[in-house]
Amino acid sequence: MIHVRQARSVAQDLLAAETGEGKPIERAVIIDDLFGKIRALVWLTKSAPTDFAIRFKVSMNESLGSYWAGLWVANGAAQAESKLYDELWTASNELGPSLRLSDRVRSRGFWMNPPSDPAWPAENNKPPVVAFYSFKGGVGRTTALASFAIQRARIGETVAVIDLDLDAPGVGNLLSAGDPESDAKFGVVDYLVELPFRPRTNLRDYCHLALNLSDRGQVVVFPAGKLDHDYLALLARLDMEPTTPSDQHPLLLMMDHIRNELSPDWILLDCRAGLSEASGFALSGLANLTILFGTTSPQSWEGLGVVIERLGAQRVRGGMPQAECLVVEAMTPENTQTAALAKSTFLSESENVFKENYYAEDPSNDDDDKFWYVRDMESEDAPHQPSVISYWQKLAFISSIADVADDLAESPEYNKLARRIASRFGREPE
Amino acid sequence: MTLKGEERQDLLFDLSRMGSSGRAEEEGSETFRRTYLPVPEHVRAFDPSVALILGARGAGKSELFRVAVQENLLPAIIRTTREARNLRIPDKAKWLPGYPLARDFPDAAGLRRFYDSQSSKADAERDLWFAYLVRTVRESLCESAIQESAMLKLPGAEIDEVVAAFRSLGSKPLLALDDLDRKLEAEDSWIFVSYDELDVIGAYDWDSMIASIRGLVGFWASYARRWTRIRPKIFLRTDLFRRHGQSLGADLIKLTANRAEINWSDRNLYAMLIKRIANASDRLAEYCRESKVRFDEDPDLGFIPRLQKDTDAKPLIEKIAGQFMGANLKKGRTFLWLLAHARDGNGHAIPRALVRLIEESAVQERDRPLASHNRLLDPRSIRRALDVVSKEYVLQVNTHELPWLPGVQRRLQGEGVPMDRRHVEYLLSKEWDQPWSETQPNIRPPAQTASQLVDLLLEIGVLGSRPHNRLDVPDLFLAGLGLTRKGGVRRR
Repeated sequence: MIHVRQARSVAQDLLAAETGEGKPIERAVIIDDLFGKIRALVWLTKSAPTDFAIRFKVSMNESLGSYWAGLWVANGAAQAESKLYDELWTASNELGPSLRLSDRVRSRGFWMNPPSDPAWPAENNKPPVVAFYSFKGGVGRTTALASFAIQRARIGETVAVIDLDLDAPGVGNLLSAGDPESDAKFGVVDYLVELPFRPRTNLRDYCHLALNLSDRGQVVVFPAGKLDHDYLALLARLDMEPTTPSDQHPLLLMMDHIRNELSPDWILLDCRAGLSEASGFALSGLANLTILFGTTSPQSWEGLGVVIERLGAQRVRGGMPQAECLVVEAMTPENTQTAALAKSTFLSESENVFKENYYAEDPSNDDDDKFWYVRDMESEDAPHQPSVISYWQKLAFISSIADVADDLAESPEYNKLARRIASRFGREPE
Repeated sequence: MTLKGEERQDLLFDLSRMGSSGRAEEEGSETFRRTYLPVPEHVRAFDPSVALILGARGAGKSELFRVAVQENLLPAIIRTTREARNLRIPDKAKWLPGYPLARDFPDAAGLRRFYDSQSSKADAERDLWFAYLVRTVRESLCESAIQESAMLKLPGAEIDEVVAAFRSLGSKPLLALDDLDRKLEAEDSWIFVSYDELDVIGAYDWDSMIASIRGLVGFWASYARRWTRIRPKIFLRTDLFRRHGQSLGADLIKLTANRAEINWSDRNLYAMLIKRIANASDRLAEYCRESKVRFDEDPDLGFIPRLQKDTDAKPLIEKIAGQFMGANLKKGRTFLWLLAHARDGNGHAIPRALVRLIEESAVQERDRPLASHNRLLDPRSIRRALDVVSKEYVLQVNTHELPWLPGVQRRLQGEGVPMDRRHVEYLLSKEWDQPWSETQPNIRPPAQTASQLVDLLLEIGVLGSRPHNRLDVPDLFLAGLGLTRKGGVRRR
């Protein structure tokens, strides 16, 4: 018997063989339901043999076994059903010109839905939304976020930091207000759960100013929430699944609220490692820029490959430009020789993964500039070109961010990363 | 300020002609003077103690040669370059060409026959250059016996007769040059003898080339210490120097100790480009001066941009072509993109290519105007230009420098980059004995095996090295070699 992973591809192969020009099926949708069972919705051509549907059902049943849920034939359906079928076709993801997929899921909806556009374009004084993400934890993602926030605050900007690592909060603590009394009493989890009950909520209840980082600007931190005995109960009530309409998602509403009330120059999202719901939200294209942290380990690249495919290839195949991202080689060894080898290995892997999953084939028309293309890989600014952050022993144990704020603000590597991020929005410091 | 259509077209017309197709030797004297940039780091080549001047292909060695020999621009260089004033560049100097000598030198066949006929190769190689040196300086010689000798009257192509006549004079040529050296010393003047384009001396007969260069280097390694006022300036391609260093013998080390290298920093590359643009026409001069770039003016050299660092060029480059290489921010900064795409596989930027890229971009823009505001070039015009420049560059290289490159092109046809090295070696080794040039079937690459050929291609920058034994081709060669970048996500 086949495994559930194989069921979809078996169904796809069988359908593809019968679909298209000269074939009995004009178009079809594979419906992969909540439990992993496969159903097919088909529109038959006029010339399809009368017994085709029956034979096809038998064939699918034989191949898929208990994963087979049945066949819907659109031809001859009642008007209401026909409308539903058409809507299903429209809402499904393209697998080919005549074949689509409808994924019915119980969770990770943001990972499965079609990709979307950024919450807002980062222009006309709207703050860029920058997501910091790593597939594996402990690679320095949050530290890099903090460094960027500090650097921008020190040139007089206001930076809003949102902790989206709701299962393992961190940045709210790292960028604390200095004492528990001054830290925000409520956080992101509270805001999201409360939103239906308190639509006009006071934003200041959910944030605090990070202490002693800058005399000029400020870092406004929205922690995940106070990690007390109520936190788990709130987290368990949080529904991060995509909403309809999509612009009503609580996270989006929160970001809008922050933008309108605080007028920050930047909104930074500290995303949970792995394939969490909150990360799915940020990586569905809603951020203007995603900073991807990786190491040379195969596990890191396997995971990043999934994410990069989401940001790149999925969108390209659907005709959408890639979501903007750039990669950081994290935890590079301090030893010069080892670092050189690590960098070379990382770059090579980055080139391969991005070429397969992100960059579009070079266009035949040189004027076509909609996507990141393979030809753009030579550019210093190309997404796969890594910014390097070396392992820094000093940061392994810190009691307070203020102790290392100057280091984070002045480190050449962190400066370079910050400039690279800023330059994506035309905001390099003079 | 927004340029009107006609204004932009006029400026583009001037810009499209500012580089003379990127070949210094094709420019008229006035144009050359206006476009030549005195680079402080290169000026050292004019120091009398420097005998060997190294530079990559297209680095501008020929321009230096022309500056001194044909254009007499050394006073202007000393005047405008602080570093030149710190060197001991003499006031009274005569620059004479030691090579090339056009009809006054044997052709490849004559050279080959000469070497083949000699019992002592080492003596032959040195006597050749000694004899032709005497011919070069003949008008300055005091000794009348020498001046009347057959050696000086024979046609330069008659190498066997020339060298035989030279040998028949015994020690007289040496004594004549000793006298000349003493006279120059008394007058506090100098004679510099320049040797350029040595890579084509045997017309791609590599053995003749190596023998000739070896002889030249050997000759001057000996005599550069004997004569204080008769000095050589040997211009040599860096890859030849590195590749054939051993073949050229221990004498090379003697000359290497005092060498100059023609390298181009990003700052100097942009200064070179801006100087060409600013001096191309009055209109372009005004356009350039409106940016934040500072210019000095010299009666001989025209407008000279003063850049402390490469980013000082940014305001003008971005004025010409915009800040970014795409419709939006993400496609890289124009300022960096231009240099990156004028580099060979070793990362050496080629001045000639940078100039041509801008020239051709102007042509593309004139044909299909896309730029707006006060910009002259749209990134799309620059991208189209890159393909044209690449094809042109490869053609030029095929014709003048690497006539066997078409054979490489044919064997790699249809491939996408990057490529696995072993695969490239396999492709090159196929039909190894078949012709490598359509027009000159006897031409072969200077390598015995495909692996050696790949090493050579890496060395001269046609290929670039990637991790894990892969090879890439810089954009400057990519379109010209008919290769494409493979991979990427296919759109539906």
